[in-house]
Amino acid sequence: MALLELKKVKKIYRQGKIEVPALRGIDLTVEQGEFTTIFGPSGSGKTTLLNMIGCLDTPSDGEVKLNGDEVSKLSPKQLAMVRRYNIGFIFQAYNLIPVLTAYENVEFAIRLIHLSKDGEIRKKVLKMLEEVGLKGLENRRPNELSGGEKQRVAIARALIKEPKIVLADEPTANLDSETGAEVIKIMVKMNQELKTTFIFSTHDPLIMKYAKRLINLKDGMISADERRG
Amino acid sequence: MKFLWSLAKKNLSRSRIRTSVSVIAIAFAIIAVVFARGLISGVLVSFFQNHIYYKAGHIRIIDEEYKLKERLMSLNYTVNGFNGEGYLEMIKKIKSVEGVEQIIPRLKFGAIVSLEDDLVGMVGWGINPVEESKFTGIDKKIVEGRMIQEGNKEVMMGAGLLDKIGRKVGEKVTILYTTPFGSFKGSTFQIVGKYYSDLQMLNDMVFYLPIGEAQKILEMPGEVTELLLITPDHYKAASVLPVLNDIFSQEDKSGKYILQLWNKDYDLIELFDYAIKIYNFIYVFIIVLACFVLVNTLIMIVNERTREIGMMSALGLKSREILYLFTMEGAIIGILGSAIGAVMGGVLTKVFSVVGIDYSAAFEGIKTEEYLLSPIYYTVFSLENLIFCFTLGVVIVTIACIIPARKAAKLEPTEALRQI
Repeated sequence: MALLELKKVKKIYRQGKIEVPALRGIDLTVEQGEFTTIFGPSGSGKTTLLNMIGCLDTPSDGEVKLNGDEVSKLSPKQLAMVRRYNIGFIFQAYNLIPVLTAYENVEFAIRLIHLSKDGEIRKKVLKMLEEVGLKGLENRRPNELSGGEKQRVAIARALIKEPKIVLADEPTANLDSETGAEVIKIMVKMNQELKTTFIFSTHDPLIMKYAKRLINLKDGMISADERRG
Repeated sequence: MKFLWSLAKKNLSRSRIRTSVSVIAIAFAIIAVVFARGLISGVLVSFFQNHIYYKAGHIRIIDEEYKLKERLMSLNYTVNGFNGEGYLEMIKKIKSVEGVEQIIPRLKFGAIVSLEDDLVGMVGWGINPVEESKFTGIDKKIVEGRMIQEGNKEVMMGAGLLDKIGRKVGEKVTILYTTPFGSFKGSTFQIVGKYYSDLQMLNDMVFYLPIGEAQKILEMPGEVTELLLITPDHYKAASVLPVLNDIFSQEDKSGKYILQLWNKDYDLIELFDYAIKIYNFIYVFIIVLACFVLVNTLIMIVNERTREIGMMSALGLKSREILYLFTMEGAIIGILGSAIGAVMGGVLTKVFSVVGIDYSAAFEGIKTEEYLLSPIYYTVFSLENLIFCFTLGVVIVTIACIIPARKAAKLEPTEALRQI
């Protein structure tokens, strides 16, 4: 059974009386542990597709299955629960909570799922921060971290709850190439070690270099789907 | 939810000035409400006490007709016992009722003193000196001379009244009055005492004389104009009414007497009851006004943190949890503001409960003889007031915060994440 399955997914936005199709019938299957990049020109529907996969939005037509369960007809509350337990997000602008330390930002995600005791949570968070190379920076707030460090915190926050899929929307867009490369390497490492599925929306050639699968989106449709060794 | 509470607390440090302004706005509102409630309580306590002491007791027994002609100081509708056996017999029968602690007889009548070129109007109160002192503590208000004694032809006058008639303690005064039979008479009394009261009516209008002397000069043996019944707690005075009503239905064959509870049948008291209800709305209104500052702050916060709300939605926070987070931020401001306001309002109320607020200047030129209004009011400090105002503040502020919090909770995650 595929981890993620999209069948004939369409998304139409309405702007007054005008209908603007963002996705025109996407068929896509993603297996556990894939490292996939979705790319395409601006307005091709990358973010909309990512929103569908991330259960942030529901399709106008078609179905989205996660782990075999249909999620496209769920209520907002049910979708929130699906996101809470199954999906991690990494944003271009990091979106860390400024009043929380690096440790607390990561802890925030795991507190939501109520699975571990305080002691275990602490161990887990510290280990995750160490994995992303932030040992010793646990108590720094976002304004005391560099862009690369902030994105590492965001990666740790996305991975701490051991989600089935991590969705990353332009994760290196705000980073210089050297820092971007470091961040990508961390995600590659996590993908290999934890078998977490990564789906990127990006233009960054470096991410595309590491990707095992490249999906080209054009005018709301998949124009190419290339798998690499 | 514990971590959301903790996050809500931390979020308040994002803009300390903004948080402080909101806390101060709430605190000022609570200070105003605590003080206003304390002052209103003080005015009521003072007014109710004066009303009970000098007008109504806890229960007043009068002739039904007297109620209509009281302003004229009629002496034709008196309390002369059941079926004319005298008021002392009536007291004996009522005193046995459980809950009646004291019975105060008073014989009130209009009188004048003639000066060379003027007539000074006044009100004579025939009293039992011992019972009256025990009840109102009038003997403690004596500033010169002594309390009147039963059996002596003597009077005690308010300081203002003595000034008006130009007499001093130790001198004699001839008082003119009309008996119930219409005879216009005069009697001379020794002035044995001078008292001071901040009640204009008592200070400038009233003179006390022994009840026996009053009955003698007015030719009203065994008669008084009213009997005041005192119970252990005026708020529970109504509980003795059923037994009293039984006694009166059996003994008062003519049905001429009525029993007036201190807080019924008096227009001003009913007006106060009404005013208290209005004031309660005003208190809520004051806090709601302060809430506008906070609601405005929270709306700004929601707008500023739209992307963050989107991120939290993406992490899996439900709308209810986002609502909780923002409501708690407002509630913490409400708790802080209400606590500071309650403490500061409490201190202010405590200070004015000792020094009082002097309205003498405001009362100048206003004739307040008819009203039992003191010119100085002391606020009432009570923990109940502080707890009430604190709770009211927290509840109203929390409810008000739901408006911006709902705005945050209703944000679509995709829309929120798109915001720059």
